[in-house]
This record gives sequence, C-alpha cells and structure tokens, in this order.
Amino acid sequence: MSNGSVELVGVVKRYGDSPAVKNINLYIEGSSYCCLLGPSGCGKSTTLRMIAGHESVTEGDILLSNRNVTDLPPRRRGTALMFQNYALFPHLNSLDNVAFSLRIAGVAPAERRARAREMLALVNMEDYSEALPDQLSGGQQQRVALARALINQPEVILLDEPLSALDPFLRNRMRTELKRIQKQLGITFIHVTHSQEEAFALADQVVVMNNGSIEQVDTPPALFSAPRTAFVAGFIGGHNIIEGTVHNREILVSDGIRLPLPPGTEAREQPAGVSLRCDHISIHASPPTNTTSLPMTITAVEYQGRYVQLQGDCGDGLSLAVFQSDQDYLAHPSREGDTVHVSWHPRDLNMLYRTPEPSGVSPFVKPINEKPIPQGETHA
Amino acid sequence: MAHHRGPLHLLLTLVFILFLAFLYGPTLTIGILSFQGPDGGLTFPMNGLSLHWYANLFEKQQVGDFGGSLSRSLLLGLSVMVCTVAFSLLAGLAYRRRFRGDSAIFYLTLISLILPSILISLGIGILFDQLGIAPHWYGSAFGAHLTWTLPFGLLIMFAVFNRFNKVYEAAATDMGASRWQTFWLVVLPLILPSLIGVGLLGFTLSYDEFARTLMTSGSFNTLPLEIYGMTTNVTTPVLYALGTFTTAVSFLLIGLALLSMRLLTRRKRRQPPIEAPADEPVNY
Repeated sequence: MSNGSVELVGVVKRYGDSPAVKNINLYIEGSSYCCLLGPSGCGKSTTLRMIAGHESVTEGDILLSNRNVTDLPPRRRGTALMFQNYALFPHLNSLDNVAFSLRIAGVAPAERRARAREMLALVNMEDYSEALPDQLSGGQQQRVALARALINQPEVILLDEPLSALDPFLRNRMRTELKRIQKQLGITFIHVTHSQEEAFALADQVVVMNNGSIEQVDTPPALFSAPRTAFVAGFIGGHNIIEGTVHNREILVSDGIRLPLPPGTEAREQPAGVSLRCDHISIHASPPTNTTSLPMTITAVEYQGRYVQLQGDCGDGLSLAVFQSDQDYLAHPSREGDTVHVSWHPRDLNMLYRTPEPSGVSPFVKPINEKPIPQGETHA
Repeated sequence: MAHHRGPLHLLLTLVFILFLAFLYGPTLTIGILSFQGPDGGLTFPMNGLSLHWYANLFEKQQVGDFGGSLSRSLLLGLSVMVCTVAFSLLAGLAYRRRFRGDSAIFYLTLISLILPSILISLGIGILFDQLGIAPHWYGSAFGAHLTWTLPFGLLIMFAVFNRFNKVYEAAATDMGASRWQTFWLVVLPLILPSLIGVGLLGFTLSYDEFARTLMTSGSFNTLPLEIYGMTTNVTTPVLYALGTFTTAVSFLLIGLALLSMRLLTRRKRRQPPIEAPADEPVNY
C-alpha cells in the first residue's frame, strides 16, 4: 500500500557531538504539500536529506507509506530529490537528463525517450529536449530538474530550496507551477524554504523549524493567526512580540502597562508573552471612547505600497509596529514625532509559549489504525 | 578614439617581439635550413631550395637510425600517455578522500619532480644493472618517463577533482545509479576533457624527454637521444629535416587531440541556440 505519507519518529542527527536535528516527530499526510520553514542552519535541509537517504540517521526511524526506510539507499525509498541548484548533468541534454534514471533501470532507449518526452511536456519543456543545461535559463533548468525527479513516479518529491536560485518574478511563476503539478499528480511534496511567503503560498502543512527542533506544525492560516512561540511569530513576520507575565487575565508588560487578555484563554502553561498582528492595530488621532487605548509616539514611517508601516513607542519599553492601510494613512497621514493612539481587540492578543509545540497537539496526527511494516521489507 | 600610448607601451611591445623572436627564431631557422638544396650546408646562405634532406631522412643513414628511433619514441610516448592517464585518474580518485599515509605518498610523488632528472636516470640505470636486468627503452626508460609524467598528472587531477561538484554524484545516486554507473555515466564524461589534457601532457613530456632516457634506454635510442647523437656526427642538413619533421609530428598529435575535443563538444551542441519563450528571460 503506498499512500505517500512520511513519518519521522524520534529522528536525531548528530555530527560528532553537535546535534543538527534534535528528536523530531512529524507526520506528513500522503498527497499533501508540506513546507519545512526556518532560517539557515535550523536543520531543515538535513531533515530533507535524511528523508531522501543522502544523510544517515543517528537515531530514530523514517517511515514512508508505513515502510521503515531508515537504512534503505535513496533509490529504494520511492523518493526523488530535486537539488538546490538542480544538479542537471552538464554533459547530457534535457531529454537524457530526464531519462537518466530509466537508463539506470535498464529501460530500452526508445521507451525511455518517449517517457522522458511526456515528462518534459508536463513541465512545458518539450521544445527544449535537445538543449544542454547551460543553454537553459534558471527557470527552464528547474522545469527539467522537476521532470527528472518526476519520471520514476516517486511517492514523495523532496525539493531543497527549489526557488532560491530564481529571480523574484520567475519565483512566483514557478511557485504556481509547482502547486499545479503537485495537484495534478497527487504526489507528496516536501519543500524546504526559508521564505514564509513561499511556504504560505504553497503548503497544506507548514513545519517551522529552529535550532534543530520543530517549533510549530500548522496550516498557513492557523500558523499566522496563532504562532506558538516568539521565534515563530518573529520568523513569519507581521507580528509584534510583547513579553510579559500573565496575571488575572491581564498581561503585565511593565509597571505602567497591563493589557487585558480575551476571556476564555486558559493558559496550558505560563506564557512568555503575547503576539499581536501588526495589521490588527487601529490608529486613532484622539483616544477612542469605546475601547481602551495606548498613546504611541511615532518613530518611523515606511511606505510599502499596500500598507504603511508605522514604528512607534508606547513608553515603558513597549514599542509596536503597525500596518496601516494606505487609504487610512493617506486620509490621516502621520509623521515621525506625532503622538497617536493605538487600540486592538483583546482577542487579537495571542499567547506565546517558551517551548515548542508538544507532539500530539498538532492537527496533523497520524491515523492510528495503521501498523508500520517491519524494517527491511521492500516495497512491492 | 585617440588613445595615447606612451613610451612604455613601445618598450613593452619591443620586449614582447624580442621574446617571440627568441621563442620561435631557432625553430624557424632550423625549419628554413631544412629546405637547403642538395649541396647546401649547415648554415646560411641557402644553397637552392629542395626537399632533398627530407627524402634523405627515410634512406639508410651512415650514422643514426631515424625511422627506428622515431617509432620507438612514438610507441614509448603513447604507452606513457596511456599509463599516465590511467594511473593519474585512479590516484586522483583515491585522493578525493583522506587515507592513511596520503600526504606521505603525495610528497614522495612530488620528490621525483624536484630531483634532477639526470640523477633519477642514473639511479634507475644503476638499479637495473644491480638487479641484472638489461635496460630497455620499453622497460627502464618507460619507468623513468613515468616518474616524470605521473606527478604532473596527479597534480592536474587534484585540480580537476577540487573543482568537481559532488552534487552530480549525489543526483546520480538519488536516481538509483550504482557507484560504477555514477563513475561511468557522470564523472568520467565530465572530466574527459581534463583526461585528454593529461594524456597530451604525458605524451609530449615523454616524446622529448632526454635526461631521464639517457641512462635508461639501453642499446636502442629514443628520438631525442638519436638526434643528440647525430648532432655530433652528422654534418648535413638532414639533421634539420629531422628536427622539423619531429616537431611537425608533435604539432600534428596535439592538433588531432584538440580536434577530437572540439568534435566531442560540437556533437553535444549540434542544437542551434535556443530561442527563449517571450515570457521568460534567458540568461546565457
């Protein structure tokens, strides 16, 4: 049975004594698009290479469609890795690059060329079958690399920063293309990126990693509306991180500033603070009568097109970033040094915790009725 | 447009012309003198113009065996070339990872570049003598030539594998290639031009090697030894014809190798330059 699901159970990777990946547990549903998101050095690429079989696993197991593949070589896993700079063979043309794995598998020349042409057609590169990689643009090379990864009908495609080598315009186009192909073929895609924009645009499931651990696993909307740790809130951007201690349904930022928390928020543990989306803060010229507000002195104004970013100081060490719509801004422009009043709804305060998500809280839980097949058994 | 060039430019141009004259003058002089008429001597002036001495080359000489020494040198050069390519490639592959004694072996290899050639030649000659093996151009001289070509070959392979991107091998492995298939289908085609270069270098180093052959070639001379012998005995322009002819052979071989490399890349690039689709920029 091959459903293309991927499961990491207590996976650890150490180089000598230094851990690159610390005890990761993750379930990725078959036929889904999963993004591993994090800064460089967070262990996301190492995790990807372990799934691909290019990196040994120090501890733990990797299951693919419920087969234990921890010690299998790359080819026998049913995965295909698309390398960061595509790694197209410079001496082979597009067609032969795509047909390479079929050649290895001993498929007759006529058949493998025909199948490679089909794959090139899927990525709209059929006109370039005779071109060598250095005659192709970055975007074209990426399409060929994708066709090469797809030709063996893998259950899982692993993409290592696939869009980072492209210019911004092409990046958006190829992003759409990747999603289209993933939907069309129904293959599991695992995509490593450091761009939250990319992850949000593509992923069904975003895995935020930091320092060798998983910080949070969620859908993009859930991740953005409720980041669990200060790291996640900071990394995905667009959030104010307000440190403080919770006491009597209020968060105590400093002696002078107490922010009321929404009713019904029962902390599972002592929070480290709260996050507040920059676009959920309202700006008023005078203190609003119907809600509590804080005075804020504006320290910087940046025009961003769709919105204007105001940086401000509320005193007592609390500084906030506010995204104001350009319409609101143009109606009441504020300048550096102006004092305005900011307000928000208490429900927009999201609790931040010190520890990453405990496993089991994730909405992406493995169905429990399936039993893993013992290691060593190969895939029919 | 009027780009002013100072006196320094003139001086440097002069130096460069002198350099060219020193580099190619002697060869050119010998080339011209080889076309002396039948009554011409070893020096200018030209006494007529003929191919007489070239015809003379292929006749039985009173002193010197030109045909024999040329074929010996060609055969020796080709054997040295094949062995240099094979051993340098294998050594280069071995040095891609560290192994016990790797630096010791590396320095031992380099020593043979530093030692004077004539000493190595002498040593090999004495060694063969002590062992009671008769020195031969295909035995002791062959080994002596390899002491010269292998260190160069190894150094070139170091440079080649330093630049080699390991990700191609990882990609091949990902697509199921065995180590042998990875080597044969990916690594070897990518380093082939460098291997041809190593081969050419091996051949030319061996073909004109004098010092390392001197004490090791036994009773039959290679071409450089034969030419040297002839300079002391032969007093006709046949010597110049010989020099010109062997130089031409060298150029011919190098030309053939370059041509085969050109054809190799041409075959892969028979496709005309790609027209980019209108919506996508192509950066060549």
